[in-house]
Amino acid sequence: MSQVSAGTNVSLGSIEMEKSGTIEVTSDSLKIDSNVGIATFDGNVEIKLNKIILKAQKITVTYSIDENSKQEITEILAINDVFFISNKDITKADRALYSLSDNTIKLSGNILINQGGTSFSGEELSINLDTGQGTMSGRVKAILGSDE
Amino acid sequence: MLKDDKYSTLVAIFKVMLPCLALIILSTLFLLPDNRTKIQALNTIDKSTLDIVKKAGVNKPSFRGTLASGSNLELYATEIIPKNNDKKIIEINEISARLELNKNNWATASAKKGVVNISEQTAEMIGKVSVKSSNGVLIETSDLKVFYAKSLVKTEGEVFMKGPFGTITAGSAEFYDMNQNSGTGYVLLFNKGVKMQYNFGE
Repeated sequence: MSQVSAGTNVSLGSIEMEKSGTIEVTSDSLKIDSNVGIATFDGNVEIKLNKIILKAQKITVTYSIDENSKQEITEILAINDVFFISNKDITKADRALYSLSDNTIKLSGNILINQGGTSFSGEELSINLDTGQGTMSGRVKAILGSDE
Repeated sequence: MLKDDKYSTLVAIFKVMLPCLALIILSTLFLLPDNRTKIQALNTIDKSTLDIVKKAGVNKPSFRGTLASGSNLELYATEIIPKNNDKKIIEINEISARLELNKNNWATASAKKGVVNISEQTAEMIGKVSVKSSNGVLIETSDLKVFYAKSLVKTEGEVFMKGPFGTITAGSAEFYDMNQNSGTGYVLLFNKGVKMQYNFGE
């Protein structure tokens, strides 16, 4: 086990986007409210894209409409029991906020990243998805293990 | 510290999952009218439509014409039956209709049965309800009730929707106007279990 100082910067490689596939979303309810520009998936939300799964108790999607009626998503917020699962890799947090304007995701609250026997915990993780640059802050703990 | 490839996997998950979620939501939003669009049709089912229904009372009735609102309506049925003496409740069997707001905006609807309750200001379609619109949306459900004085449309049974956004299946659905005074602020609500599927890419 090793400790990693707060504010640790990590360099993240880039990876190609999926070019095709099926995305499936299930939840107890979905409310799209044009009055406030928010779509809310509520209750046991699960989003599957190929082998990637996002789970949360609630996901809200905020959008705006410009003068030409063009709709644009501004942010996606997942709260309560947020899990990103891909094969054996699991990332858990209390809250995940994806901001489309600066293409960043901010995880907060009881973050636990578990990948191939190596785990990493902390309170806040901010990742710029354009550069792959991430910063973990708060009390950060890493437990290094093998991939097996 | 975790290896770069571990982070890469995490970033890849975010990069793939989150834009796709944004995409599916964005594609669904066009189900709702723009907030600035005022829906007049729901405020009052055109009185001339009700007059047509009340007066018909015949086998294989049909109507084709322009309503007072300016919309073109085609209405076909096998039978129209007033259910009480004052003709406040009317049943329509094997109903099919086409409403054309203008050349580019139209909708067709069909059902085994229709019930218009003039006292309660409701119009209901029951049994194999199918609605198609010019924007490529197909809606199928067992029942569809329009509360035309309240700008409220709801289903009690399961609803299936198919369109450019993919497919949506839900236990029930509602569409209503949050702010009837301004005529804007539309809400689309899917309940009792929702499943959305969206195919993207090549």
